[in-house]
Amino acid sequence: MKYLRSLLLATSVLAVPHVALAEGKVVPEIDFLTWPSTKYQHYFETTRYLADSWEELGIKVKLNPQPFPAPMLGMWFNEHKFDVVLSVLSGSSARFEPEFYSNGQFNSANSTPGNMNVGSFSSAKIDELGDKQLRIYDAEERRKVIYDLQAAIYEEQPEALIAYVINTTAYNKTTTELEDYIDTPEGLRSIWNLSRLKPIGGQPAVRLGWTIDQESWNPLTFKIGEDLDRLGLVYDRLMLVGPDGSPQLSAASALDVIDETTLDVSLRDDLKFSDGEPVTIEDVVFTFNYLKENNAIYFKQYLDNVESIAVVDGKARFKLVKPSAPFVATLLAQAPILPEHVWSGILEETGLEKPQDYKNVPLVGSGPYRLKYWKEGREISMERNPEHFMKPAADLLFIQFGSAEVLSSALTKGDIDVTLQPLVPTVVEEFRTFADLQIIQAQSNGYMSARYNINNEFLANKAVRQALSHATPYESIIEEVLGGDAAPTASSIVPSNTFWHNPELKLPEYDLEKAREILKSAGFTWGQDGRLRFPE
Amino acid sequence: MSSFWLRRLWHSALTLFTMLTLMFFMFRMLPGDPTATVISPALYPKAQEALKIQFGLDKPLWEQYLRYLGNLATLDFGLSFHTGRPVAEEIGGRLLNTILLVFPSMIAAYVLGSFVGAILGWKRGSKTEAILVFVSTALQSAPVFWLSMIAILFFSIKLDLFPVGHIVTPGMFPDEDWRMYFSLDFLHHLALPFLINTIYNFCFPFLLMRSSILATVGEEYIELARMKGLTEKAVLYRHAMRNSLLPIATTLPMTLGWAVAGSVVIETVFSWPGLGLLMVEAVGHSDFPMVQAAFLLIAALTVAGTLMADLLYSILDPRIVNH
Repeated sequence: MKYLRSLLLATSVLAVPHVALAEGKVVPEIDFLTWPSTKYQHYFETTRYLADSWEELGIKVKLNPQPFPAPMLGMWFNEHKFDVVLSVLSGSSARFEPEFYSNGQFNSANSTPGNMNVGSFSSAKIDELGDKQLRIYDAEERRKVIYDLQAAIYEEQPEALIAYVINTTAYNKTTTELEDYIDTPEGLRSIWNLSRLKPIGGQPAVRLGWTIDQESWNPLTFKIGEDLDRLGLVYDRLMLVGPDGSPQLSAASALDVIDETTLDVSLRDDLKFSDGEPVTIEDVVFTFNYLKENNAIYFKQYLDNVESIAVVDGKARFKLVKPSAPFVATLLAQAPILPEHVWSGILEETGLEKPQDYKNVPLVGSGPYRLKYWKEGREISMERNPEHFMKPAADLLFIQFGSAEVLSSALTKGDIDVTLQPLVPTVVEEFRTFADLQIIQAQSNGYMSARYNINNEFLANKAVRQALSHATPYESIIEEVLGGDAAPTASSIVPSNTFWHNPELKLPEYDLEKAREILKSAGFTWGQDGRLRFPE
Repeated sequence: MSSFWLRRLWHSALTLFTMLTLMFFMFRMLPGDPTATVISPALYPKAQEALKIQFGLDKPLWEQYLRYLGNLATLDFGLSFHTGRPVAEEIGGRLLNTILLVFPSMIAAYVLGSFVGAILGWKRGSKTEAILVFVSTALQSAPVFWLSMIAILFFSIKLDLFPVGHIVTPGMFPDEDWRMYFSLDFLHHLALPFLINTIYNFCFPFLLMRSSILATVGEEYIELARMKGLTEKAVLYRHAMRNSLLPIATTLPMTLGWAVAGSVVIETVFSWPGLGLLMVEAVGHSDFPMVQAAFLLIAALTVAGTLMADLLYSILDPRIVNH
């Protein structure tokens, strides 16, 4: 026995040099940029699941948690200091626009610092389809190309898709009425549901709990989507993104595409600002010129593509620098229409140095609601505008909370009627047992994925990316880490974006054997230590 | 004004200057860029550049520092990176709310702590003393957010005695804000966070007074007071307690700055719109001007409190000035 063992040992020693000769170099350790485990425990845990699974393939993974927002966001979007990053992108109505999650993230032109192609991904086919869809203004026609684009991205697997999040919120049925909840990624926060909430039983307004206060009411300086959501309640917008993700007319009565770079917008004639003045086409033209001249932060990226705006035959004519189909759902469906008679004179009136310093409260707008008052850090009161064509059902009172836990307690106690803050999974279970509460589950249009940096030699290999996608245990992550409040998706344009999502794509199933086969047929080998090695 | 006071004033000024310099560089040494915390929609590079210029972040560090000092000299705290509005304006509105919560409860904690500490120190060895020392130490060691949560669960949700948070019932005071401070509704909302903050801060003055009394019990003047035929109460309050008051009186002003800083947690849990809640948000956004101003305020309060403690000490015990 002893003899046999030493013989075996001898042969293995002899064999080693041979194996070493046949092996390529070891795949270096992967630097996986992730979220801090204390505050974003489930994100961090997700990356642990991925790392464990990929290590089974003989790939060493080093998790690199960094404080959020700084420096993590800088490493992620500007410096691109990672091999893989756990990308968690939240949903919003602007992100219904298919450009954002497809071409925006994977066109090689968008890989400069600060843009969305953080992994420097590059593929001729994706670039071509991405550029093509930008020129098609007809939604149905454009959708065909967006489908092809999603298929091309699927083929390349520039990221391992994990899940899209389901946000659970709730309202109190005994104090609030909502006839036919409209299924949309933004749930109760969406203007389509918000504007139909009605108090019952004597409350003067629907009381909505949230943890995010308004930062700015000035359309030139606000920076976050939540601010825009509330600006969208007090101002009119030319277009609106519908619950299914397709853009539709709002304050505009018609949208005519003259050619690839020229659009004419006509305005409804029944709109009035809260100070009684009518909304005119001159206000529309003034607004876009004003936002452009003053470098409105949120809109700058869209406005840079606008060459000129002028009144032509009673319509607003937009001349673009280059064709941009997303222009409709991004700029036209987001920018608030400002009253020229207020904004043209604010500097003289207030003595301020620049319009960015203007607080814009009290606020003159023409939207479905009027801003009654804003108490910073405490509450926002909105009064319904009964003359508005959207026919808002009731007044709204947004109530600010310091902590999400206390907010959900306030809902059970009856201090608020609606929570706009997503509930944590443990609370959801409990809330299901309360007869007074109506639980709302909204499938977000944002999603979670592991983004690869193509500057890494290993990840630049398509077969590697396809293999890693088969080694992504999305089902366990959804069940065990995300508490079931998520669902798998095969495309970065997720299923809840009904109009644009390509339903034919099927997510690569979790199968480590298959992952190994793909790596093997691409020429990768495993050394004696189990580590994966490059092809010779 | 004696040289002692001049020296103390000079030290305080130096401390503040060191603080604000350290703060300036510490925040800027942190990795990350305030314009990079603006995420949605993954801020467009050109807009980021515009922001940098707007806030002077494109200038070299030394130039930013000089400008910061110059601005502070004129009490200009600059514009918040986040909201774009003057920091002084934003902080001013919040500071009052914090003071209304923190100062009364600190004073309550000190008054209550002193008396309970004096009585229990006087009657050494009672069961009540053992229990109270244990409970107060335990309460101060418990995380204050946990205490607050438990209080909300029990008093607000289960017993429905108090609201779950906020400064007044939302929607109650749509017009002038000053009115709300004189309402019963305000007191109703103040009660629970006030209680928690008082309980949380009770331990220190309580133990301090107790040990201070213990040290005076054997003093000869106490013996003399008893021999004069004074009642036990009079001996305790007029003689023992008055002489033990020195450490209490001098630590109270010193802790005020610390108490404002400590309001962060209570304000977050109780949705109290004060400085603490504002700071939490500002740190998350790398809003340097806002955080700097808030921290500077706390530093100034602490320095002023220390100075006040010295002043009190020199009045209560004039020997200190000569040393």
